[in-house]
This record gives sequence, structure tokens and C-alpha cells, in this order.
Amino acid sequence: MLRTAVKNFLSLKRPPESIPIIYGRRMLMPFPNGSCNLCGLCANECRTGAILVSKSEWTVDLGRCMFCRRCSESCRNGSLELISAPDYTLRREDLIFRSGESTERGRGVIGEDKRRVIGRSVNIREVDTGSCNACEVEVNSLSNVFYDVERFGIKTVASPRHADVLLVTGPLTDNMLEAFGRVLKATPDPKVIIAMGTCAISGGPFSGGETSGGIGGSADADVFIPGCPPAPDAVIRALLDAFGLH
Amino acid sequence: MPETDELSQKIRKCLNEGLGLACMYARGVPGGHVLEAVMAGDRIERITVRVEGMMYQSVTPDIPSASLYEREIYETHGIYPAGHPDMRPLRSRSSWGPLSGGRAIPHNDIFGNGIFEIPVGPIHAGVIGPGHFRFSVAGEPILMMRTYLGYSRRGVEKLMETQASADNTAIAERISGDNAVAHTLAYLQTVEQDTEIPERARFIRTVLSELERICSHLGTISGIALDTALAVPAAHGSALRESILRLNERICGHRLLWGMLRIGGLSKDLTETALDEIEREVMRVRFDAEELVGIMIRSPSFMDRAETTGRLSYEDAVHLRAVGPVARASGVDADVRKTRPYAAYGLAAMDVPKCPSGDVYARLTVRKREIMESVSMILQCINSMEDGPVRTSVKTEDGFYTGITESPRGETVHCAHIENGKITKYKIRDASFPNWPALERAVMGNIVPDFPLINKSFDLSYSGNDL
Repeated sequence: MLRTAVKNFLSLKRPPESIPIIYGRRMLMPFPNGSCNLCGLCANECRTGAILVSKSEWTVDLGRCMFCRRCSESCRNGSLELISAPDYTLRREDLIFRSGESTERGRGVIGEDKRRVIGRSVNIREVDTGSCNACEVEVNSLSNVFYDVERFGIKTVASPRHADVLLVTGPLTDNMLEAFGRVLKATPDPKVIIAMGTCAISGGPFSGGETSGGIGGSADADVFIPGCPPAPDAVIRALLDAFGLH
Repeated sequence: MPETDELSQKIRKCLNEGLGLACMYARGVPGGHVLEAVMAGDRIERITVRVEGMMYQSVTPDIPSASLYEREIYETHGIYPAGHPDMRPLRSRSSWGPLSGGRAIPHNDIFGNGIFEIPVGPIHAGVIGPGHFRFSVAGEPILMMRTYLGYSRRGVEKLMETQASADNTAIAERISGDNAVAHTLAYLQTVEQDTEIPERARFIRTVLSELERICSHLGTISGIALDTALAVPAAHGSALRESILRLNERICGHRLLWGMLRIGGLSKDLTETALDEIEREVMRVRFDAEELVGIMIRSPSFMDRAETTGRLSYEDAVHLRAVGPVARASGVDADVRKTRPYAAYGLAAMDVPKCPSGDVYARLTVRKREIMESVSMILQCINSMEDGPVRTSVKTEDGFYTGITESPRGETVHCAHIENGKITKYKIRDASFPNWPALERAVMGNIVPDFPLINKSFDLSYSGNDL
């Protein structure tokens, strides 16, 4: 026991026992099983146009999905199942799932140049670009005693000038455009930009409103975390994996 | 210029009858505009006045609570309220709105030797919505504070203007994410209208609404503890909140209770096990919350920060028509659940906690006691629930309908004009909207370091205000 204590004391890694707990729950996304007859009812039900049904193919874009489950409720022959969604992807197009293709997504790590600079000290500035404050609820939850992200070396800092990572939520409203531009300038390079939640990725339900439809047009996001809002577990897993903090 | 003193007189008449100005907005009609005012109290009155041209006599000098609404009407429709004392931009920050044209944020109109202006935001230090504040200070005390919001403006009202039969609950939930149930219930009132909702669904709606309130108040209490440097109560409070969030996820699959409410009832019934679990969990949270607040108020350093800080007087609360826990902490007796019960609130006994002093401590006490009341209401609802359907079919009629609910932040108003089965005008007024000016008033004379604490005790929503 003493040896373990000394080892843990000298180790740079976080306590390993916390991993299985955090790796438990998953976000659920709709995906058809073999019996889907491509009737298109789910696509009609989808408010954000995340589901597209053509004659030969069923696709869902998790970057648009609000995770409201109306699609699986509307399915008449029960072929739309809820399966585990990926916690994050490094490319926008990886969030699009096609029927017949694999739903597995690799747990890639961000570019080595950025990862090396950040190392094990991830300083995050959360930038709300007009979200409905649900994402803020979950980011705040990250620092409560259940999740306690600081034990992984992940910190939320008070200013973009202190940050290595911008965690962007919200659909980037027209009124926030200028402020967000200044945030990008104020954050030192190399910075990692994370689009958290459906709004930040695609604008979600607000893409038709007075918004730019997410940060896609103004900044190159390095990591996409789908969810509306993404659960804190999913955010932690995404951060640990994408920054290679294991 | 046409005289619209008619509007002022009509509002004054309702105010004298004990109603308050719940909402005011402009609506385009063939050949001009009409101003609509919704007066709410123990009943709802609608006032409609036609405006000729693009200018009318402002009612704000007579009725201060109309100030924000008149500024809003000017920004959205360009109808100028002549004689309005304070026409600062309300939500337009960039190119938004027909008349904003990049209006710059003005300096506070207070000048003198040693008076400095501190601009803060829109990106704040905490994990919170965007907003810009201007503090005018002489030394430490704040002489004046002005808020400039609108950064979260997404255009929600326009998105709600769909077929009346379309299910907009997913949008209503995202108006202000942590007040989702209250906003969705207000939206549902406008489309369900006189439909009789099954009793079980009404009970469950009440339970969900109160769970949301407990969750929101726990977050605020934890935030107050954090801002007064009480680390242990802050951690305790956020842990309690997390336990409610997890309870929410177990019973309905979403941590913020989204997706449960549908037009005509609920998307699914709650099982007996789920109800038992709610009962157990809220009882535990009730005693833990009581203990938590006990630890806080027994600490002299906390009471030193909380008492007499951020005082909102009864008169100011009434004049600005503050709502919710903020108003009740200033001694105003206002709670929609009591005055015009919706869902199953008429069937459960409840007390409206009030506190006269109007400071941070009063708002903390009111929130604590509201948690106790919410738990009692949840238990009453669960005990009086009987088996039955949770969804019914709804026929939406044309006309003007209001939905008013009590969110954790206070009175939430939705108004819908439905013509030929289509929502032609939808107006939302979040509880935070009338409370922001109350915050401007409450921080006056306090020191700058106390602002975060006062702000947290008000617990206002940026996204709900900006829409």
C-alpha cells in the first residue's frame, strides 16, 4: 500500500479509479436497424433537418440533432433504435452517420503541435455565443464534486487571454459576432477551439434565426462535441481523449 | 403627433384595480400598428390601442414598468415613444433591428471629478451568458450601473410563428434552458387553450415544474456561497443540484427535463418506481438544503456580506414590477401559482414565502423556503395522483391567448395571436426581463466586489431576456 501511495504521489497521471465511473453513461442517438423501410416519417418529425431520407439511404447529422428523440417515437415499425453516440469527433463530417455504414468513430487526438504545447494543463475559457444556458449548466457541473475536472488538470479560466482552449457554446448570434472575433484575437496561439453542443456546431434550432448558425463559418473548430446539451460525462471523456490525457 | 394617452389611461385603470403590466408589444396590422398590453393579476386584461404613424405618447413617465417594453417596441418596429426618458439601445448591438444601425453603447450620464466608468463584458469571468455592464464608481461604491444585453438574441419569437398545430415544445425548452418546463408550460397554455388536460398529466407537470425550481434554487444558493468564499457550502450545494439533475435524467432521460412535455400532455408516463425515487430524493435534498443554508447563515463572514447588501426596496420592486423570488424577497406578494393556478397548482396547498428586507440574505431565505414548499408540493402531487391517461388530443382555436407560468425566476408570459390556424405573432417575456432594471437599482451604493454576489442572488437569465 505504501508503495502504491508513493507511486501515485510521484505519478503524473490522475487517479485511475475514476475512469470507469466517468466512462459509464453515453449519449444516445437514433440509428435504424435492418428493418427500416426508409418511409421518411422521422425526417418529417425532425425540427432541425438532422435526418435525411433518400430512396436508398438514411442519414443523421449529429451536428444538427437536438437529441429530442421525436424521431424514434414517430417510427411506426420500431426500426429506429437509440444507440451510443460518439463523445466527440475531430472532423465535422464524422458527425454524419449513414445507414449501412459503421457507427464507430475513432478517439483521435488533436494535432501534435497543439497537444504538445498544452500538455497536461488544459486551460479552458468557455465562450457563450448566445446559448440557451443549458450548456453553461453542464459546464458548471463539470466543476462539482461528482465530476471535478480539475483533478485531470483541466481548469476553467476567467479570460480568453489566459486560455489555451476555447469551449464555444451557442449558435453565434449576430450580436455576438464582433465580441467573438475579439475573443479569437485575444486568445494566444496555438489555441484549440471546441464546438460544444448542437448550437455551436450547426446553429441547431436557431440556424434560421438571427445567428450565423454556429462557429463553423468564423473559426476552425478542432473538436466537435455533439449533444443538446452534451452530458458532463461526455464532455470529460471528449477532453481526456482529444487531449491525450491518459 | 397623435395622442395615445388612451393607452396610459387604460393601463392606469388596470393598475388601480391591482393588476400589473405583464407584457407590452407592438403588432403589425393592415395599415399600421397596434400596441398590445397584457395586464395580469388575479385576472388577465388585454389592452389594444391603435397607433397612427410611427410615434406615440410614451407611457413610461407615468408607468415606469413600461420603460423596457417601449424601448423594445422602438427597436423591433421603429415606433417612437415621444417623451420616453431613457432611450438607450436595449438589445441591438450590431446590425440587428431596423433602426439600430450600429448604435454605440453610450457612457453613463453621470460625470464629475473622481468618477470612473468600468466597462465589463460581454465575455464574463464566470461560466455565464454574455452581457455588457457599465459601472460608474467613485472609489469603491457604485454610483450607477447600466446593463446592455442582447448578445444572446437568437430570434426565438419568430421561430415560434408556425402552424398552431405544430409542436414547438423543442424551441420553447431552449428559450432559457434551465427554465425549460416553465417556458414550455406557458407555450402549451397558448395552444392547449381550454382543452381539459388529463389529471395525471397535470400532476406530473407540476412535479416537473417544481423539480426544476428546486434545481435552479440550489444552483443559486451554491453560487451565493461561492461568491462569499464559502467553499464547502458551495461544493455541497452544487452536489445537491447534481443529484437533482441525475434524478431528472433517471426519470425522464434528460438532465434538464427536456422532452417530457408535449401538446396535450406528456410524452411518457412516470412509473411508480420513478415517483418513489422522486419522493425519496427530494426528501433528502430538503433536509440537506436546510442544513446547507444553516451552515451559511451561522457564519458571521457570510452574514456580513449578505445582510443589507443589494437592497431592493418594496417601492422599487412594485414600480419596476419585479417578479418572482426577487419581488417576494422585497415583500411583494406575487406568485402566479397562487393567483392564477395552472397545471395542478390549484389542487395542492402552498405557501408563498416572503421576506421584507430585500437584500441578498432575503433572497437567499426566500429561495430556501421555496425549496421546502416545492418539496411539499411534489409530495402532495405524488400522493394525490391516480392512474390514468397522460395525453389527450388538442384542438387549437383562432384568437388571442396568453400563457403565464411561474418559472424559478418568476412570472413568465407568452402571448400568441392565432389566425387561420397559424401563429401570426408570438411574444415571449421571460421573468428576467423586468428584473434586470431591478438589479440596476439594487446595486446602487454597494461596492464593486459585491456586484457578483448581488447578481447571483438575483439569478437572471441572459438568454431568456434576449430571446
